[in-house]
Amino acid sequence: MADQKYFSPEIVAEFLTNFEQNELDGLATAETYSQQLAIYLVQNELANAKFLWKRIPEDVKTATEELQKIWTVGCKMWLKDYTGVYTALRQEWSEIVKPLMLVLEGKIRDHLFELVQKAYTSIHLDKFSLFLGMTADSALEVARNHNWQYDDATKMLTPVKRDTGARKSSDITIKSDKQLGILTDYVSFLELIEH
Amino acid sequence: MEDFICAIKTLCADKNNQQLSELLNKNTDQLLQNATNIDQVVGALDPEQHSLAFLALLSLKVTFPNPGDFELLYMQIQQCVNMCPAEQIQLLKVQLCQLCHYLTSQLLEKKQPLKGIKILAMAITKLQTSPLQLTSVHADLMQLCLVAKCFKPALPFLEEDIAEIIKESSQDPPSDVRQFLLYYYYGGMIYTALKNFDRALFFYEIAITTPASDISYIMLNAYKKFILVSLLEHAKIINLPKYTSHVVMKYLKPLSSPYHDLADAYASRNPSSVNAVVAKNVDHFTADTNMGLVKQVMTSLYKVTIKRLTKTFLTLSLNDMANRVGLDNTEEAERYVLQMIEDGEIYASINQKDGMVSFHNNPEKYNDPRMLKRLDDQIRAYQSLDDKLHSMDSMLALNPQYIKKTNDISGGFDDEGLGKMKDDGIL
Repeated sequence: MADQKYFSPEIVAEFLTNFEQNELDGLATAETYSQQLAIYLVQNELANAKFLWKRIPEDVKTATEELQKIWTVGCKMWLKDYTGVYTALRQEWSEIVKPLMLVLEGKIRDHLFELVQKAYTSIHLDKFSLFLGMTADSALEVARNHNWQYDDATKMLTPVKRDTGARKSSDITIKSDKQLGILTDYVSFLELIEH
Repeated sequence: MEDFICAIKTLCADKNNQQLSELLNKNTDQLLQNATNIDQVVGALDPEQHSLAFLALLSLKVTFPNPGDFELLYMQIQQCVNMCPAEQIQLLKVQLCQLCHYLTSQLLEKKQPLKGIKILAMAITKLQTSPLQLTSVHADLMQLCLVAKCFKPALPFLEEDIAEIIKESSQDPPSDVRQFLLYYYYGGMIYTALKNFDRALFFYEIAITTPASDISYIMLNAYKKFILVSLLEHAKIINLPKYTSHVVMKYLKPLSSPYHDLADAYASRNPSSVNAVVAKNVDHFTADTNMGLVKQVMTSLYKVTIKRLTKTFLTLSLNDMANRVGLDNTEEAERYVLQMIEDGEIYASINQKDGMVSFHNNPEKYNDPRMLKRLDDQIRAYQSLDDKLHSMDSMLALNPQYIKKTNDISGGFDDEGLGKMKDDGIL
């Protein structure tokens, strides 16, 4: 499994299906459990991750330290401990889960950056750097790259709101002839009820 | 023995089901009185070609007090479900369901629920002629998934809106009712575990509102969970539909009084009175294995109060908020607000410089294609529901029993069921 492959969500999903089927066939091993658990975290399927952790046999859990560490990350995510999650992520991961954990760290950082952008009109630099799991200096650089204002005296950052509406509408487009077709469907359905 | 196997094979090849069943019934007393003999016969058969005999013999074997080695039986059932063609299985639904029920109880006893999930899922799809049909194996599958704590395989089945119940046998309706109630109870529990509370409520509601002249323990437990999940999703107990049986409502309420006390305390929005009710009934909740849900209800109270503040205030200091909600300090308040913004429960922004929170209106403008698509999906779902209702209505209107009954009542044939009701403006 080459590292790069993990970055495509489709491939990750395909791996996951394999792991899930293996588990139902009773073929799961400590390695497949670790990867399955890590994939649930990457997909932010925390409920599935929690119940997978609960159903992994005790002897596998105690014998595999890494599983415990992956679940610690899951716990922090479950509890929304935004700052503790980075400490849990900074471990020596084995080759099979390392790429997944790197993807996960990136995803969490992106998500928390967006959350700060959405939820704060002003935030202390120290707090912001905790959210990103970085030193204050690198966090400040990220903020400056996004044109956020920084007040040296109070150490307060002013996040720039992003226009979410504009981004959403570009996701789906409906052609006007299709839209006309939809309306025709509605009308003929209503006609049918009338009679 | 050799002759017997030969006879089965020829009859299967000729598709002579009548004689095959006679042959099997005749031999029940002599040749097939113990599991080893059956194993020998089954071993000589091909589940794909001699599926009827294969299935019938296995269903006979599981009725024995001592069916022999479980691993062998497990493999035989697995072979049977995976390889017997669906058309053949349709002919022996009762027997297959029997096998599935037996397998479920054995795996639960041996604490290996995971091993049965694939087999049961396959069995259900072979029993069904459409995914909208409910079988008695559904409840077994849900139970295995719950005990195994593995819910994903259950979801494809739970997501279908059941429109029909497969009749397996005419003799044994009580067990059908039990499997029906259990399916909706277990399904509700799975959705609760996955925090899909809306869908969970729907499942519990079906279990509670099943027409009944007496209440079952399953209904009572569904009702208790219904109250808790209803508090989590709607911050109050939502009303049950009018068609709920009177008996049910009369007996369920007094039997679940701790839950009603909790809901009353919750309605007061006072954390300390909720805590008092929980402390008083902790044994009761634990015995019902509902303590986890009760704890979720307790923490949700803070969020409900914060949500109410958003309706009253435009801006509020974190300190003030902590006091009003009953939280320990401003950090705690900030944490709650942040979590609720993340989950999209409120629209607000925090200003750390002044220690203030401003509340906003929902930024959704309902003007983009995404919203249009959602609307379209909903309309289509209702359209197909309407179609289904119409076809059920016409089926009912053609039902001889129904025609006889309405004839008796009205003396004529002027009631046309749902169509008539719609004309009268009832619907």
